[in-house]
Amino acid sequence: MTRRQNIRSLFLGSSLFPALVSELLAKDAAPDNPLAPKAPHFPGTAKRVIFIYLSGGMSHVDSFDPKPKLAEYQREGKTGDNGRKYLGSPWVSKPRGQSGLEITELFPNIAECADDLCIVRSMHGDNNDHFQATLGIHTGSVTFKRPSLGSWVGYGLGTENQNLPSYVVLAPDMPYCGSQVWSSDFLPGVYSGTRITSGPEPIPDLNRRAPSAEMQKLELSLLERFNRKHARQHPGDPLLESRIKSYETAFGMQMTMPQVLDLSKESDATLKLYGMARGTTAGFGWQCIVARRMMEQGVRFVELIDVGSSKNWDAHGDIKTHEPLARNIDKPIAGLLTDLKSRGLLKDTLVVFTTEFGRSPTPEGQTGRGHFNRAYSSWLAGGGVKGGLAYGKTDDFGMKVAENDCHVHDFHATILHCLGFDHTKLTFRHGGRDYRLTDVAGNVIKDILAT
Amino acid sequence: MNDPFFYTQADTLAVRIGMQYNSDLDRLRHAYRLVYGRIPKADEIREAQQFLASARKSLQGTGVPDYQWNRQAWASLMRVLLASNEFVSID
Repeated sequence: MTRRQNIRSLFLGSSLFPALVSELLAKDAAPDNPLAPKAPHFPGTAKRVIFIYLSGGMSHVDSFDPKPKLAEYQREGKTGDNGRKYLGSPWVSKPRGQSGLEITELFPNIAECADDLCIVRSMHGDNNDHFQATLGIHTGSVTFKRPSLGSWVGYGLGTENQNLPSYVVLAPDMPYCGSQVWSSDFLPGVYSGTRITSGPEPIPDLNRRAPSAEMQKLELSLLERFNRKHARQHPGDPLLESRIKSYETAFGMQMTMPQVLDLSKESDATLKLYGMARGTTAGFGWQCIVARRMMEQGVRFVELIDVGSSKNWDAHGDIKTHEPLARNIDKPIAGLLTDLKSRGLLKDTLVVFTTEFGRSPTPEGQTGRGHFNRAYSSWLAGGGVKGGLAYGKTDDFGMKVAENDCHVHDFHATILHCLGFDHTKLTFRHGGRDYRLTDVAGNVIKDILAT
Repeated sequence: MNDPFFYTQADTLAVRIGMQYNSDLDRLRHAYRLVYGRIPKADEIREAQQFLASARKSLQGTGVPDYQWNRQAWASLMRVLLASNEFVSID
């Protein structure tokens, strides 16, 4: 009899809640616990991920891929190929840090962190509409529903803290496609993202409603026994297993989540770094500081969604609508990078900053910009990528990728590589064949890896 | 499981069953018929009766008046039945 069996037999017959058992067993890296920490294919440079996603399509030529030629052509009334007019950026750019990376005034605080950023200026995706492109950057597929990146990471690595989900999504507003964005789809349900909103009750209905703690324990214990018995009669159904596991996770979260969300012990200096006032339970600063606390608590993948499917980065009418949106996230993100760095977390935490597509260098109406999936910018920081680097190039107008292209599949392959995975081997059998995040494509961008 | 709607439904079910039958055994049989469409087995009856006793006891010292303990214990059991995979999923 193993230690595991021993512990189980000790507690299973009693009314003691089985989460306690799981907690004891988690330390043994229980092989039958789908969330137990697992080793990747090879030692990765990142252990966890913060994925920042800007909804609506952030302009590359106004932020991390400045194109002075656009303003020049506009000013001088010159046109490009096919008599195309260009729209200059309202934000000037200058070289930043020791690396001299060109970043505009749209993100003055993030620009201060230039030497930690690895900007990918040659991103491109397969679809030019929000819904498809949003799914594309999250799941690799613009056509069919597929598991999210965060779900693949949980499936591959498990998670460190059994009282918290492996994949947490801090999203006050719903993005395009709603919860499909963080769905585990055909991967087991335990790998789905758990959405946290903001405000006084960040996770709805997490708090106990039963009149006594003892009564809740009795209920969960009996429910577990009912479900185990039922599962034995219906072997091999991952959905049943997921529901059983979700009650355990919820119970763990009841204890742990209030601690993670309690910012009272954060110093004034730290709150200031994120641009937050004490007592704040909303805003992007709140999302960022909670993300750092989740990383410290052993959550594997935290996604921060900036704004939702409306009033977002979709600047069709006027590109200057980027300004208040940028002001809202610039300081918190710079604060997050600084904070992670000073706590020694940045070296093995991969921070990803992306959007679903860029915006057209040509005007839409007078001052707006359209969707643009042919070329856009994202950046990575920490977790084993080079800082102060711009990878890939667009042409003088940001119209097309000129050098070292990075398709969404390449981006995903590189993120998985940082975590220690060969993206062609992280597979799951579904509907009669093996599936992976990168479909049948994707190349790791080796040039951006620090080692 | 902490959703207010869910709580109301479980309580309503408990009251409905409580009004229709007088003994715990009859109430259990009725509850299983309504929720699962089957009769409870002997060990399930035993388990449920033990649960009800413990659930009533768990309300001691919580400020819930004792005349409500029975209804609360039944509502608690109904929550387990309604949240269970046997009820939620289709064979």
